[in-house]
Amino acid sequence: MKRYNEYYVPIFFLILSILGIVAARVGFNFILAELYARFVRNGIFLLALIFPIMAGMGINFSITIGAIAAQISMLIVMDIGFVPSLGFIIAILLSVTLSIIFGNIIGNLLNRAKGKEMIASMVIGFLGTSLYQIVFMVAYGTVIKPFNKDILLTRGIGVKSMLDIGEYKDLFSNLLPIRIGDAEGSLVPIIIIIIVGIIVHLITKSKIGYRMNSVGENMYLAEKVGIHVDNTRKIAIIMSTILASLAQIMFIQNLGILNVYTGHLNLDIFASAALLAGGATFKKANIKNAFIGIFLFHTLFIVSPLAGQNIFKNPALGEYFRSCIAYGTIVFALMINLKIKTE
Amino acid sequence: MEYVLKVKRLSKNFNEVKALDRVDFDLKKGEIHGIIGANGSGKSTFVNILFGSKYIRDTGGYEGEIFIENKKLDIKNTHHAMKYGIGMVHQELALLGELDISSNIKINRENIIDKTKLLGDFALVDREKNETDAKKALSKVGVDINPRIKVKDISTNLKQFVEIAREIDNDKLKILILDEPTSSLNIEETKILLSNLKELANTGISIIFISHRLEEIVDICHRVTIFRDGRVVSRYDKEDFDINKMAMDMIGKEIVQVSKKRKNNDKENILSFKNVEVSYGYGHYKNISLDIKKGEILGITGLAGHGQEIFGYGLMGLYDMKGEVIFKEEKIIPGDMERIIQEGIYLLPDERKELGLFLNRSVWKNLVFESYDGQNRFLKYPALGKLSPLNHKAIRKYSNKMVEKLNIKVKDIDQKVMDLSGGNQQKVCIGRAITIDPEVLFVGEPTRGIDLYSKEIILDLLLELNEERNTTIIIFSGEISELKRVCDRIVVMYRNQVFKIFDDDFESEELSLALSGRSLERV
Repeated sequence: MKRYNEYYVPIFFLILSILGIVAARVGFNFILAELYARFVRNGIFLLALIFPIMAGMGINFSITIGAIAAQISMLIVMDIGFVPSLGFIIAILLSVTLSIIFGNIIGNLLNRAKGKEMIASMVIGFLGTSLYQIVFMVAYGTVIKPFNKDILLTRGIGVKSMLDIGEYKDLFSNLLPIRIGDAEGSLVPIIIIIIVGIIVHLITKSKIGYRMNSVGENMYLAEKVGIHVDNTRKIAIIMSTILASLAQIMFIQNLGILNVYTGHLNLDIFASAALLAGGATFKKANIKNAFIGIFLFHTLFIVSPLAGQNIFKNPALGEYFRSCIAYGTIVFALMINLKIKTE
Repeated sequence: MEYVLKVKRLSKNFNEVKALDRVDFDLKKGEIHGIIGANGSGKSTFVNILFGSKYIRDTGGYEGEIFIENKKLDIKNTHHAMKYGIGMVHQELALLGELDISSNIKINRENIIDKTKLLGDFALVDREKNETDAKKALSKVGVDINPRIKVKDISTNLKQFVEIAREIDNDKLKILILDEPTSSLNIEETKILLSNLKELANTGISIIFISHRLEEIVDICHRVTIFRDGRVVSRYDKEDFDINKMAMDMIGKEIVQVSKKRKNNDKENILSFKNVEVSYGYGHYKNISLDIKKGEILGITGLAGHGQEIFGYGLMGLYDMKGEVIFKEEKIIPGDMERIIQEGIYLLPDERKELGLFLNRSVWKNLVFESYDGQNRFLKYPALGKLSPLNHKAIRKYSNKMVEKLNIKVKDIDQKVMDLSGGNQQKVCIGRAITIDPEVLFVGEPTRGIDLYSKEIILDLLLELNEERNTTIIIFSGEISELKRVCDRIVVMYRNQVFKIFDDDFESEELSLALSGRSLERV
């Protein structure tokens, strides 16, 4: 039985999803269409969590900072006003640069909080959010003068809470069009995600991946055999931040709207819940977990409000059910982790 | 002859304690240089400095000069030390259990696939080449094992070989430091290792060899340096070797070897294993039986990986054991820790750091923890049970007595166990077992990593426990000469089966043959 341990959580989610689909009484096409959008928007976030877990730092809740880097880049690109295709590339380059800087800072902080990385990363995420909000709510228009006045609120200070970037949404619409269920989309984002997935997988099999594994298992011993522990951990966090920023760019692009102040919130929780639902633990995660997790978790996410509506005649219940699932998964995974540890 | 390493006036303080005091040392190319000394004499500190241990840095670095190939160097960290060609095999093995053997051997030195070389740290690892390299390195130390097995699934003895293979695999290696490499090996394995080390030295690698076994030192070393209380007290060249003199230098006093007055063995069984099944690692073993008699000292021995530890580990749930185990005519379930400990069976595992100690707690806590937690002793108001505060006065008095009796070198009993030397940690473990006062005590490798003098103290304590309180003691160990001295019976394990039980004729040829699974009739 022991060898099936890692499948307990995914199987549990599979059963829940099937029950949810039955109760929601929705068509398969509807679910597929929703899943496509969610896969494109969230896929890379899950991949971003893998390296820190390998390096023994648990879930990196500060991927929100990566998302912030993406939003800053997107805002700057919007502000300057590039054409969408060039803007998209510049936004990616800019957000990667910012992520490397931010990742370095987070990595240094987490290296001082050894053993308490998860809670530390969560608080760092909160701090980053506040700083970011101060800059764009207060500094923009006062200290920083934008090129494009339209992005400001009518009082002239602070960026609007929602920016329309519809022109970016159509970026891939004519490339490799496909129909998935009820949705018409492009194959390009899926290909991008799969490529990123393969890259992540290859990195886990690379020298740095081996080092992360060693550090993740026991950093004191890793130090003894000559591995630069702090450096390895920092690299894990930097890569995680970069991936998170790429993920957020995909998210914004697909959505077509930039939620300046809220777009990056909670995605850490949902990403980690999805990864854990895919069978990852706080000590072990791979891309298989990420890809299984995203489908299982988001299926449940899609059908739960509808199921709530059908069963209890109350759609609000479904909404609460959603957060309940997200946090529930994390706590459940925590318990399973502790159980496996004691065994 | 050229010097690979020269050390001048090396000193190191831990807080106010002088661990090393102006040590001078040199090492020639291709030389095997032995270092001996009692527990806490500064040997480990010395080699830890050479290897750039983080612990040394965190406690304020060292004073003095180190020259490698006549270049003055400041060894900042382990990575540094490795770059200069220093390799070290740690006393308490630095292996990662979740990784397989080949990854452990090639750790931080992985082969990469040539085409991806440009990617630097992100280059892909060539797993197959790693495995062939690992096999090659292992064959140099005389071991043949599948390099894909996870390290946590192999026995401690094999781990030792894996760790040595890891260092040998480094082709930049100039100086190999071995901190008690033979302490977890038995005679046969030690022989294999020593002859391999000699060959290694012939290829031009210099070896610093730390051991408590003077016979080995005399056998393979070209020179020996003796440490006592952080100083070099003497140095011998090969032609001047004299075991007795060296032992005197080491301890500063003479050693009396203990041995047991053997009793009659026609007693009742206290613990019986009847056709039990044990599985650990990738192995699954059936039909293992053993009767343990009340009040005896039973030695269990065998070559590495032949299962000397299965009874103790199986009973305590560290290995998966199934089947009938009878304790005082009552059935007990292997792995049911709580009940087994309540019944008075206790295990001191051989991997003390992983399984036996609270490293960042004080000495006294490690000594008495299980007694006040499980047995409600040392409590101020015993009537209150677990709610009662501890009787610190009694604990301190007891712990101080224990520290003195066991000759544990500590600043005071509040010192953390982590800060003690390996041998002293072992003594704390034994001290706890004595404190718990079990009816049946399993001890794994009780004298591993312990100097000659303290060894006798520990053996004597075990004998005392056996004689005065009639504790049944099962020692599983590769140290056959010690088992011969203290045991009533010796069980030889072969391929995880009880191969033969010896009652008295310990000196016979049959016992040495049995270790490799042979018996007189068949030869």
